[in-house]
Amino acid sequence: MRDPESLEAWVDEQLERLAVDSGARRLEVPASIKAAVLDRCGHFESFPGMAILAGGNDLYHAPAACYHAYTELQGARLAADQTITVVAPCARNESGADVEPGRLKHFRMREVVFVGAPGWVTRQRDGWMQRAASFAASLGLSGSMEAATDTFFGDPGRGRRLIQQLKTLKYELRVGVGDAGTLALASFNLHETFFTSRFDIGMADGSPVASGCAAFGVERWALAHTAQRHASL
Amino acid sequence: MPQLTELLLTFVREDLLKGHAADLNSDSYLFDEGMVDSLGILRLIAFLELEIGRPIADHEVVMEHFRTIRTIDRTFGSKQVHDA
Repeated sequence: MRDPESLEAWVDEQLERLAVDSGARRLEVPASIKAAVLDRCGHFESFPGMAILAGGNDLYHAPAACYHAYTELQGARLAADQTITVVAPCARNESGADVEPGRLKHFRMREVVFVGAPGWVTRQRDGWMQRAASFAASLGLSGSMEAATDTFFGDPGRGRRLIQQLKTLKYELRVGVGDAGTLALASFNLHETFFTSRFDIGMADGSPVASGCAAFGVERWALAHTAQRHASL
Repeated sequence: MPQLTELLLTFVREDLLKGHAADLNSDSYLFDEGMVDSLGILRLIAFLELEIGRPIADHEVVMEHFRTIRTIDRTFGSKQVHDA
């Protein structure tokens, strides 16, 4: 049996291979992200207190790997739909009763990011739901795909949550981890034009452009794999 | 035509779409065809809550219920509409 670190590395290699095989290009990213990027993403207003400083006053640990991809494409006029894969160290300050077990403060996130025509983005997102479920099954992980919402804070949160829910903008692949309940191993998200408008990303021919992503918590896959193996022994 | 359907058709046509929906009917897909935007969803929910006289629970806000005006009526029921 692999030790946890090599299991995590192996999981990430498999996810990266799936991404590259599906046409994604790799993006190398720094270990932290500028405050200006989080500001542009609306992160501070949507998730106050979640971002964790990495140094100085303006460098943060990325709360999500995909933010790096929008920075990469900022101002671009794309000739074709884009698929980018990125893995990044991430950190989130989350607290409260609804924080599930297995939610780490510091973790690695592998993402596959789609930027292009809205219909194409939706098909990519849906395709990755299938791909991730097959990968989980190949590891012996039994789980389910569930409609989900982000935990927005404050009063405006309900409206945003309901919109996400109604438009099925977010799904999670959840697996059982014994008495601890279920753990979300991955999420599959449609952002509509939220990021493309904030980062001024367009198509060269002026047609509409949206984004979406499939996000995988690398440590969670390793944790779930270990938990389910132990449960079956 | 059920009372709630008529009220919703009028609300969507006049308040949300400002009259730019000549072909709107009770079977039009409200969201799949991009007819109603995100803010419109919330206004539609608020309008519906007023008309049926009760809050709509979060778990009821799913596409199965809100796909068309007919499915909204079927789910939230014309007999529950307050008499104006």
